[in-house]
Amino acid sequence: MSEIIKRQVGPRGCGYPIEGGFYIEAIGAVGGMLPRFVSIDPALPWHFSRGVTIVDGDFILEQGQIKTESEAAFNWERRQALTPLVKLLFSEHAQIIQDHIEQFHRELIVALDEHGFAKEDDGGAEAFQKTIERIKQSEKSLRRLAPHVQVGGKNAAQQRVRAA
Amino acid sequence: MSKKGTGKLFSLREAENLMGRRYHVLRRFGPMLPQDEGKIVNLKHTPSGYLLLFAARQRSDASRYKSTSISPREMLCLREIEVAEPVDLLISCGEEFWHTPEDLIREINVMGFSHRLPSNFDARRVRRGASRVFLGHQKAIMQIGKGTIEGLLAYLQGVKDPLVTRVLQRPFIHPPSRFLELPSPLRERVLRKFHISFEYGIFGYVYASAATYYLKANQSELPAQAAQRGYIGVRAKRIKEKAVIDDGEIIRKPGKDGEVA
Repeated sequence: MSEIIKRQVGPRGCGYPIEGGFYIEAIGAVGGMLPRFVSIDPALPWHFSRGVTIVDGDFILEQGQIKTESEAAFNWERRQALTPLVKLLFSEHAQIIQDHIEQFHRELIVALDEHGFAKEDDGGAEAFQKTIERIKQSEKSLRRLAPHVQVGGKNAAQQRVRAA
Repeated sequence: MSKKGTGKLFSLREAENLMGRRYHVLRRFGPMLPQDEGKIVNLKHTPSGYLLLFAARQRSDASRYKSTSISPREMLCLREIEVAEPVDLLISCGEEFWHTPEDLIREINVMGFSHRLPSNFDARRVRRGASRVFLGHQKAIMQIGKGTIEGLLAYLQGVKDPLVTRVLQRPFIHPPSRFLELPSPLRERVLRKFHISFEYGIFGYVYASAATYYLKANQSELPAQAAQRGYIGVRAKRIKEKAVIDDGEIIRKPGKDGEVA
């Protein structure tokens, strides 16, 4: 039987959620690492579309600027947290490419997910370490992470192609 | 992959299905070269259907994109290489519910974000912590037709009204919302005097935490069809307080004046 969340919910700008309705949610800072809301300042002109559309977020962020102080501080903290993992996965001299923190973090979340982190285990520190080891052995995961990493000033993806 | 004739473009459903996936370029078209890797990033409505915008990172500078519009014919130059890619969404937040983008930001800080999806939406590609939900609003972008922002602020500081002073002193994450929250009739006068107009735009994003289905009173478990499409069931009880409480855990309680405590 599927999991059911019991919830008390107050009114939003659009009222209460409707019984039988499907919703997308962003409630709480996911995993304690991600911000509740990230501002795009100034707002980015985009063609109007009603309702919900699938888009490419990286492309949108490339067009816009996310330069609020909180975002800069958040990215600095995130770089500090992710750098040891990059070194572990690639090499001692590996670094995340400037402006690729968001993409690297996203690919890492996907890789952790694909290798069963917090699904087939308790999601603790030991399980995390084991999952990182599995990612390190996975050609597919490293191929996805590599375009956002540089080793000694060169893109890790290009170095991997040459090595192959 | 669509194999429709060259005269016809994509339907909205076809276009949305092709978006957010990763493709290899097989044959040269527009600025794209074989071995380029990219995604369909946007769609454009035309009288005969939808054209797609394909973007790939430039080889000389990976921080920049090159893009071109594609019809079903150019689609044959692409080979899909990744279907399990998490998708990002753009949601237009109605002006009738949130008068300004700042209204929605305040609500997110208190209750988190939640928005209804079409009932046929497949949520399997929405991945917790990886999928981003971009937020659009009809009044996200402010254009001043006459004068400057400094002139506008100086004019408002000259108005001796405690309500205006309060709006000017309040912190805003979305600065243009400040002028929409001025008391009436001053707001209309200011918009007219400085020829201010507002346009649709994207003002921020949130990270998706779940796709949920709110159970009906007579449903004791999540319908199998919803579970297959990646939804989690929610049994909700309505409360008057502006809060979301999951199994006793309060997501966040509002402080004074709706600000986050």
